[in-house]
Amino acid sequence: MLLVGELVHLTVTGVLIASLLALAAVGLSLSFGVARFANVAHPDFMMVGAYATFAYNVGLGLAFPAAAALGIASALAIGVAVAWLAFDRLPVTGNVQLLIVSIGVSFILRHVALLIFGASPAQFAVPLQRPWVWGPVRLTANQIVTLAVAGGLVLAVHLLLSRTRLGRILRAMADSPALCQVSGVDTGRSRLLMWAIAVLLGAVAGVLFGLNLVLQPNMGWDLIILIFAATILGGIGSPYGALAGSLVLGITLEWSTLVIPFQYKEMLAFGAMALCLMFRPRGLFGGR
Amino acid sequence: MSEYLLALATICGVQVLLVLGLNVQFGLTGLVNFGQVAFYAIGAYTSALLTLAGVPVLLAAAAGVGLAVLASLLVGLSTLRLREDYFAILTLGFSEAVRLFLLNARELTNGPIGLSGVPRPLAIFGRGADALSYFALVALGAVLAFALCQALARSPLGRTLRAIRDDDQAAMALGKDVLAFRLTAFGLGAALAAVSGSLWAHYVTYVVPDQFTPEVTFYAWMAMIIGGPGSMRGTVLGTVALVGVLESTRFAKDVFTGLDATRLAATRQIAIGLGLIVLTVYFRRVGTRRSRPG
Repeated sequence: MLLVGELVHLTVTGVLIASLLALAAVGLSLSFGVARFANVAHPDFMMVGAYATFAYNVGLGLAFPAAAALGIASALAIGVAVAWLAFDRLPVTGNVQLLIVSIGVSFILRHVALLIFGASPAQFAVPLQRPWVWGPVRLTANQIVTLAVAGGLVLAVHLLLSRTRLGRILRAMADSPALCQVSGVDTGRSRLLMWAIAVLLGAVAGVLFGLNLVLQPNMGWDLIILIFAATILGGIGSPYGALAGSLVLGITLEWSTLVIPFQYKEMLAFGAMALCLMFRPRGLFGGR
Repeated sequence: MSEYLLALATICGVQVLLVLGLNVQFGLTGLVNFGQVAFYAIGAYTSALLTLAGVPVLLAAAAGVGLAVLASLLVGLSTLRLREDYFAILTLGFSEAVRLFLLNARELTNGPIGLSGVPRPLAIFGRGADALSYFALVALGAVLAFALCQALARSPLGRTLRAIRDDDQAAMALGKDVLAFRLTAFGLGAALAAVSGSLWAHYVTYVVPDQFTPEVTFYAWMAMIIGGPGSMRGTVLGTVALVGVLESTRFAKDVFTGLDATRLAATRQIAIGLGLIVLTVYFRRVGTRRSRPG
């Protein structure tokens, strides 16, 4: 009975972590599919969203919901400008060159944040909350907001990809950019909109992360193994896979803490990523 | 001043070994290894741990090299068949996993405090002569490694590696076992990185996980890109140029007195980021560069 309670508790925590991972991983997968390179700076969009919100919330003293809205909007502007300049406008081609550029972007974003905000952990100015308890399940209002917002956004991305013209274009661009171009699609503009979606998802994930934990300039970079593992488990380039990969990874890692010390989570995630690439390179749910 | 120059030369020698390893992997073979620091760390920690436990230095360093090669084979077997960006992400992830292991396995590695009192060999010559004799050892290692890599680049094996880099399908069609050749190059580069790490650990006489962050990998990438991937002589020149520039920024805090240590470090990291972008744009053909050996 004790073990069941513990398992339920860990599963809830796992789903919470998965919801944050999923927001980041879906955006990463989408940009990998459309822009065709692994954007190492993607997790840093989380950091930009969190610190922009922090600046309005603590720096200017705005209430958290207003600060979050302004912060996410600012992060969207910064992130899209950075992605457009570095990944679309530079005269580089090829996935390796873009990958190296994205590493440069990641170094710059993290350390500009360090220069502005310092290295010590920061927190949003939100009131402390008493968790609601149902048996083994304990949830705070912030955690419920996190689950609701993440779930809602993932659903919105699903509707966007499956029901709208932009979604159809993005899926087509992932399949064949050349065919898209000859069909008269403005691929440059669609790519820009793709960056906007990816940055938005990342920035929201960062704000939700900051709401539940603390902010640090390395908060995105430190999640890089987990985010890439979730993306690869789900089959890189597939936004739906990224969602499933996040859930599998988030819950399994929490369960693993029953037998393996929690500090080794990243190593387990790395192992899962390596094994997955060895035996099922198209992801757990993709064909061989 | 001469002591400072000697230290600078020693750092250059250690770095040359690391970058030569990367150049065998990427410059010759086209393997996008973003986790070179992992093998450097494995070499450094293995060598440090074993010598502290009383094992002779040479044996300890050899064990470090062996462990690094073993790790490279495990990582390589799982991903070398896949697209280059998967390999890049996996090696980057591997290097972070190694660093986090060193940080968390406190019983073995002493966690964030690290290991101090790592003995420096050749200390028998007494103080003063000590640094000079260690530099001689590092220089010998770097020269041997350079000669080895140069010979490799000109050998039939080197030709096969370049053929795989330029067109692996064609190499496969000619009956070359592409995976085996890639593993060989990856393992050789890992071995050179481990030698470099071991030399570094015994030079500074302590190891902490903070010495093994991904920036070490990307310094090596910058040095290689400056020198021209594929060229061993370029690697040496690129490394010397980069170490010279980076070390001279130490004096920046005397000029810009408003910067404290943290801010100065952050500014350096921003410079690495800009450097990576600018170098990639400038040498637009990184990865497709076809250069002659030498």
